Amino acid sequence: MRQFLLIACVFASYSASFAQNSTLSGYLKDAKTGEVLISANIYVEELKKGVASNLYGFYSLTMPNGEYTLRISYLGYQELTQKVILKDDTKLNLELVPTGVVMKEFKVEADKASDNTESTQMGKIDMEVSQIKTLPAFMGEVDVLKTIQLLPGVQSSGEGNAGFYVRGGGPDQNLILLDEAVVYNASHLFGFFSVFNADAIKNVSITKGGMPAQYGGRLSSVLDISMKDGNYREFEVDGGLGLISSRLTLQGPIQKDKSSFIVSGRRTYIDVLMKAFIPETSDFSGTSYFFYDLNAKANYVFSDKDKLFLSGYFGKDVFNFQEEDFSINVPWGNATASLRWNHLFNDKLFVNTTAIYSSYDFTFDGSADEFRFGLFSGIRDWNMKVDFSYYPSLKHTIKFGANYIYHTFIPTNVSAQSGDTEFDFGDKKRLYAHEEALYIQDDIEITNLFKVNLGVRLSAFQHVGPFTRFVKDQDGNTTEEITYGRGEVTQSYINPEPRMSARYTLNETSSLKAGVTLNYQYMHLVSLAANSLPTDLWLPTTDRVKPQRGTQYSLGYFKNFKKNTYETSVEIYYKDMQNLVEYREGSQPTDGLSDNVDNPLTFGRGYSYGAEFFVKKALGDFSGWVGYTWSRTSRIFEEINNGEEYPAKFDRRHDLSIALTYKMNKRWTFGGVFVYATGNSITLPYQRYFVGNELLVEYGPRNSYRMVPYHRADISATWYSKKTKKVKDVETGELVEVPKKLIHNWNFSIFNVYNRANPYFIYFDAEGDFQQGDFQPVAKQVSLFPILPSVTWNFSF
Amino acid sequence: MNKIFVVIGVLMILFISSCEKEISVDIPAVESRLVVDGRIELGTNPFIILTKSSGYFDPANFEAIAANFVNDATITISDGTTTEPMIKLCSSTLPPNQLGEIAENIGVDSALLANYDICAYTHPWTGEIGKSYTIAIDWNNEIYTSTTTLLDTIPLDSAWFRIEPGFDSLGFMRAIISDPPGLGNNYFWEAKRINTFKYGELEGEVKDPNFLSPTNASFDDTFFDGLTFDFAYDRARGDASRQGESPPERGFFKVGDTVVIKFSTIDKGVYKFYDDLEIQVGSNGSPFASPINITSNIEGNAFGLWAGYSSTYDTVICK
Repeated sequence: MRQFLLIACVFASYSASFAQNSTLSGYLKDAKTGEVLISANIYVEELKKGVASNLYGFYSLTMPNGEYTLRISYLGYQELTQKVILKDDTKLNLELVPTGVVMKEFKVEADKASDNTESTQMGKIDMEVSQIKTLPAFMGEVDVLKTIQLLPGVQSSGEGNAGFYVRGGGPDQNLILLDEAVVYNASHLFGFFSVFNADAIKNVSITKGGMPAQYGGRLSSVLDISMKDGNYREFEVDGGLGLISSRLTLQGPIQKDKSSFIVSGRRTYIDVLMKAFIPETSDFSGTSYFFYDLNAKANYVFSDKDKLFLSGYFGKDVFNFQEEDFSINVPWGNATASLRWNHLFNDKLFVNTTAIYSSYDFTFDGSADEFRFGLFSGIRDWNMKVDFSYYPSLKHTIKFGANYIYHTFIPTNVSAQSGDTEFDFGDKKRLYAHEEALYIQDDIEITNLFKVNLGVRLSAFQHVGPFTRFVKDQDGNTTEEITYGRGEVTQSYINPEPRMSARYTLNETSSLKAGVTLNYQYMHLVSLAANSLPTDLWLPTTDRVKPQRGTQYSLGYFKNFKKNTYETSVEIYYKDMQNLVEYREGSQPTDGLSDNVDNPLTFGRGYSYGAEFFVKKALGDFSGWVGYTWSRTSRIFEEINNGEEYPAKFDRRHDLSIALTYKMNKRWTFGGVFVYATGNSITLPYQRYFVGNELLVEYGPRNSYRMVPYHRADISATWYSKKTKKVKDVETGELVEVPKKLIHNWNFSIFNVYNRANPYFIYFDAEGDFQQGDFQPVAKQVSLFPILPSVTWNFSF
Repeated sequence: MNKIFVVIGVLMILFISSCEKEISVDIPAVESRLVVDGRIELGTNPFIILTKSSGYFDPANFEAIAANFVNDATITISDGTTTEPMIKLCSSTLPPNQLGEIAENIGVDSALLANYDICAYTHPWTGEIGKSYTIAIDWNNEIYTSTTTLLDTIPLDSAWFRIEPGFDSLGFMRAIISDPPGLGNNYFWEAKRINTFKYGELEGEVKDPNFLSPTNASFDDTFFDGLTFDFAYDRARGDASRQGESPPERGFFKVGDTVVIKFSTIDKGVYKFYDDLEIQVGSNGSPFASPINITSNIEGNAFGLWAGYSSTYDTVICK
């Protein structure tokens, strides 16, 4: 820690060498709601340099005293040009006006600053929720994760699925943050919907390569989602009625411009609909399913120097089945809470201190007659972090901080009872671990053309007792028991994670970027299934399970056309992953007596490489993007597939996404999505044989067969009500336009327009009969979603 | 845990309109392997049938099935002290009663079997508790070996039939077992109805000619070591034509049935085979499961099982 402070002091002394400079700092906000703007650009014309606001809308520019023209731009807002005369350190809060009151998206008046070619950051994409809302929505549910999947390098995990894979990494390698709290299972209903209610979200950004040092603990990507703060100026009600769910959001000032709140909820009503349509005699009668999400946030601005935010998310899926003597109750879901305190030490040093709680639980309760069965699993984190942003001069942006997490892992705990007999499943097992990290990074402008981001993260992890390690021989018999007491460290890891990325400007509109990152991941999601399920388990690194290690190299060429109207890029990457975790073939983790939950695991490595092409038109009435990825992803596990290399289940050679929106006029906006992807790889049965009367199969090499390609087009049309109405002015008698109280819109979406039967999975069945001599095995392909129209009504007042 | 996948399946069917179509998939031709289907039980002779595996989509007419039987192997059996060659019996030379036994084992009509020359391997020894039996199969210049042990029997404390709530005559078989202390007991449940059909095409015939094992017929004592507890089994799938009043009676025992329960202890290798088999059979068709290959207890590049069963029998009259 002392060394860390020393480094911080060294960086702090930077400012001393710029004596005649002054600092311009403040917050960037939405003029209508007072919400701060994240990652908005401030560009200093005279210096041809710019910075972006941080996660809390704060910016700081240290420049020689003088007169400057600032251009502040943010997608969906009118560009603001502001003259400043800098003589002393100056506080300047700037407010941007949205381009439309409802239609915030896409319309920016002038050309925008070219963040695409300017920043050193590679593979980071910000998405605006309002933009996401005009794209076609599956079953009328606007889903940020599904929009993320349309970006190059990001793949969906399957039909209708909100899960995603980034550059050959598994679903556990994505760090998903909601107001800085980790969300461990970001999907509802086995992945068909994500847990993020678009009404409560302000900003979504994904980093798929060159992860900055402030983030850690995952190999592949960071999906950083910020909740709205709540309107600081006016009370506002937004909501929507959809086919399967309804949403309602309340927000407003508690004290104008000082404090605000937002509460947003969503609940599905499939269960209610089902009850109405399923006759009581049906086998499915008694089945009910629903999910809900609740987001809440409140904040208080003490002064320009201090702000406090309290936000929380709570969501659950609940499945029920009830019959006379047989019942199942299965709830699962996430809960997060974060308390954040922003403090400005001075104009150049911003600090955010956060306390976070986050949890994911899965519960299964079943009973049939006197037999009762219960299952519980989950994970809980207590997390403290402090993050400094330091802006000593225009040539440096320094971030440093520290993080501590206390993890509690609850692997599958089973209880069962038959009559009066309680089965013995051993003690309730929990695993405990500490995770720590220190980081520092500097975005350094070396010359006008050459900019480097250097960072290092020092991460550490300790798995601690109480814990008993059951050492197994080859037959699975316990040969030794090693017991650790409460708090006793079973194994400790410490790893430096250096990162570097650089940008070289070729000319005004193009640049080259390169990055190298080394990451460690100390938690692992293990799954028996081919898809992500709520029963998948998070497990810590232990004495047996080593931390995953990922090294990524990337290189990119970025070019903008037509005054930055078109942003294009080509990125290539190579990623190496070590100590990946899977269950052994055929293992059924029972976590019984005298066994450890990580004993059935096996370890291997993987790699992925690919090229990503991206063309984006951010400006104008016609906007959208085309992303194409060519990639290859492999896994090598000694104990899987006889040790031979095999394609990862999400290995996909071609992946093309097109997302377009067209704003025809003030009332109508149209959206369209097209996706094409190489078919998923699956394992096929190669041989069959009989033992007893049972037809058994021998499968061929893992993932050696490709299903047919996946492709699909969706379209949408959104109709907006008038935003103003004409009223007679009482004094003058003239007609004047005033904003309408209630504004609303209708979104019509059609999923899978040309009704493509995409393969979801293939299974094998046998037709005929041996006795008759006409026995014939057949393969059957199951498709899920045919053409599905939906309609959603959204309102705001 | 299987229940939850059933639930998921139900839910998905409910929630989405899925559609299904037959497709053709090309799989490479692979060399077929030896398949061992052998057993030895308390007081009975060892009995082994050898076949070859076929390509998954190969058609299965009688000629193809017959061609898959392996009749040209030599097998020795050892009880740990003596090793003796097994005797080959072929359908062309068999007396009708033994032919019937083979027919039952491989699931074809005995009349049909008589038309083809199909062989099985046996020996006059009968299975004894505590003995391990090792077979060595010599075929195509390869040696395949396997050992199975006849463990102590563990009888059921009691067994009875209970009508399920909501039914007037259909129910499941229930039993109580006391598991001996110490991990590593593996069990296998089979049952057959020995009464005759009173109606339909099969009137007068015995309902189940063979013992049948229901889903999850094998279990071990991981979770109830040393405990006494009760459990229930439904009726095995078995032959489609013998389901009784289908569909209501399917999976149920019925008042009036006389049921013989065969409850066996099996060794670890046999249990592993059945455990894998359950996973494989249960996972086909589920998009959520990873396919698995079944671990054979045969050494060498072969499929199948050499299984010893130490069984006890209970007869329950359903009323």
